[in-house]
Amino acid sequence: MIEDYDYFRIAVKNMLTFFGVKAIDEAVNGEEAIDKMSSKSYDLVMCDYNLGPGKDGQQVLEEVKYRNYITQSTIFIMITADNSMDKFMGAMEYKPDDYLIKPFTRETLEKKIKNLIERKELLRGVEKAIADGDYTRALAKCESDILKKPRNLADFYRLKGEILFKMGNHEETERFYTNIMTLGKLPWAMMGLARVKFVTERHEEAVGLLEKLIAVNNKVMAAYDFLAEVLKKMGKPLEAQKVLMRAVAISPKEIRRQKELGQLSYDNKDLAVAEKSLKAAVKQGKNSRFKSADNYSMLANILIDKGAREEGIAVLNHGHREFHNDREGAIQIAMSESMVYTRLDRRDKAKEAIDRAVDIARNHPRKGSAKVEIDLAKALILRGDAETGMDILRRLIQNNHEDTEVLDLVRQAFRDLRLEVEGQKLVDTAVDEVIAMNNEGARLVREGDLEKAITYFQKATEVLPDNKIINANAAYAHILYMQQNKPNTAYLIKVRVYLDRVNRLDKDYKDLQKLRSMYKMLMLG
Amino acid sequence: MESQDELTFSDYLASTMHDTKNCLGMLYNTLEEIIGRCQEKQCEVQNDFYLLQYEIKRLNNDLIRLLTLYKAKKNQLLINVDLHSVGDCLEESIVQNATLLNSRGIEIDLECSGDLFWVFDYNLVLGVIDNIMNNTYRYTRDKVRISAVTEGAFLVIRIEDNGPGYPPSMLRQGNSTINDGNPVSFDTGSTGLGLYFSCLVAKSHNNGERKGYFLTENGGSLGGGCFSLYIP
Repeated sequence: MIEDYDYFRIAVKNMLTFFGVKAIDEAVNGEEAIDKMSSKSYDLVMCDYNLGPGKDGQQVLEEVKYRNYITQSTIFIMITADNSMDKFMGAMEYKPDDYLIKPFTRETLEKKIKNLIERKELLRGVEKAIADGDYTRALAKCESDILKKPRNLADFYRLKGEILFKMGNHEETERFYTNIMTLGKLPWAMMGLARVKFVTERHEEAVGLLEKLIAVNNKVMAAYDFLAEVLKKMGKPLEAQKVLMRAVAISPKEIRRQKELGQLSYDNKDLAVAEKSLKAAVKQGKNSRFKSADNYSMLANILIDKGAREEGIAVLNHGHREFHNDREGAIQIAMSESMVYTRLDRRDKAKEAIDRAVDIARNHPRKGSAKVEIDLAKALILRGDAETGMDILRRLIQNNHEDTEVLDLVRQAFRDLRLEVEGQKLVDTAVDEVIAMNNEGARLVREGDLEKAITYFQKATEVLPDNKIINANAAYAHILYMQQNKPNTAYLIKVRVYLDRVNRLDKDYKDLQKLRSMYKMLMLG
Repeated sequence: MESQDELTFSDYLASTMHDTKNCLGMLYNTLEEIIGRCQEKQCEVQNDFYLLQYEIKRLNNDLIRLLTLYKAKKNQLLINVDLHSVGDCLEESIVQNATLLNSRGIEIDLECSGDLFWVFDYNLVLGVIDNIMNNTYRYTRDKVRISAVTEGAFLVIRIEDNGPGYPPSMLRQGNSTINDGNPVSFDTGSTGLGLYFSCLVAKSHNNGERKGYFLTENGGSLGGGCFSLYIP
């Protein structure tokens, strides 16, 4: 029960106790609530929208969903003071299950909770099939449920659209949404249709639909974000910036949107807008999951560009404190500092900062994002430590050997360093090495030499723990072995580790769902 | 400067309304607890408490509508439509009002097919129905019927009672266009706010060329007031 107003919190708690809720935890602000949800799982969360000066209810919801502190089965009820639409509608996946308007009676609350439990129960079959990645079954179940006309029919229609889209049948998905829209201007159907138009390269039509959706309801924030994405893809970054500016004027609290706007306007050389939105992102990002060291670096650079040196350095010092517990953020800030000091011609300070970045990277050898790793390697090579720098890049390439985006970033880095030839050579040999490694393992599997394949992949995953393909193949070899012999705990644990890695690296990896189902079958004995 | 001052003033008004609402909410829930204890002890004043709770609810509904109108004036009234079970919405309005209406011996009748679905803003429409249901506490004799059917391209939600019906000044019959500025009558204590709100909600629902509207008539199936909300 999240509510800053003591009286009301206690009143609701009494109602819940009255109809038999056993354990109730309370929080008086968003931060405390997030903290509690991080360490305990809840069946029901009741959250007031207006929580005083800190985070509001919507931000709490987005953060706990983003961090997976609550699951599909958790019921989240947002309590509001009135029934008008001043609550911002974020992305569809960040919607509460229902709203309650204050004050409400015990009977109303009880009815609402019972309805929501029923709704979740009804959806379980379809959601399970989706989670298993079995879209054919999900679709069949969804269609048969729709015939029964459940009270939450809209949920089933929405899921049906999503399933069709995921199955990649664009024509049928389009037909479905177009049909649904004859019932009325349903925002989720309009978004769904826009998505189909976008992936089938009908960008103009997607733009038209999204503009229409915003005209119907200018608070469907997800529509602005998507519209900006489409415009960017169409090569219209200035228009995309304008759309995001409209969005932040309506809902200024969304950090990721402020960041996106900051980056976009920075690229568009609209530094005034970039400064403003990055300042907002930095300010709102404090203590938030969505804070990002990028915002600090970009903001510091803008400030120094316009001559506000002291302010720029202060931003980095602030970032330094904010990210002291975050390896990647700390490296990024340190490197920005070094660049800023280099620009200001303060060599000693610049060197101090880069040394700090290298220290952090060495002491915490977990892999960071490609961008940070590349920046770090660049800094090392520039400083004369080419060996360490090249080593970082080789590992990065090998962990992402099929990711053209990462490989392009690496090539770009070598161009920046004027080491194009050496760079291409490094990329080629590193990629060849991994492919050879993977092919060898795959050959062993194909030839049925599973024991050898397992030993081989175990070693390969030690060398390249962050390569999703190697990890997926390692899992596959172990699973095949257990299917042919019998499951054993040690291998099952290994498979789980491999699959968790694949999930972390790329949750949409093509074979992940299939491997998971095989793993679950083995777990059943 | 002047317009800025004006903005500040209306914003103060809005925040004061919010505070008042919180205060009413507290009163409302305290009363609910007292009523609960009363029920256990079967005390006589129980019905007086219901009356108090009724008046608080009425005040609260007025404030909600004022706030909605305030926001509608600042911006346009935004509606958040989805496909809903009509029965769910009607049932919820009954749950909200049943205890109160039953305390006066009023019988509530619901007629709605379980497979009736429509696209509308759930909370706004619930607000309209809740307001009318709440009024029947004062005006009906002993019956309220709430029903929903489709008529052509419209969903019709109807609330009927067996009281004396609407006074002539409040009747909105036929397909006449509805005037936004409902007459405020200080004699009857009617602010016209309820109907104005209903009008705003109805009008904000549109589908293609068709716009929503409502009718207030006398007669109906129970012989009293009959309120019909038409949603395209």
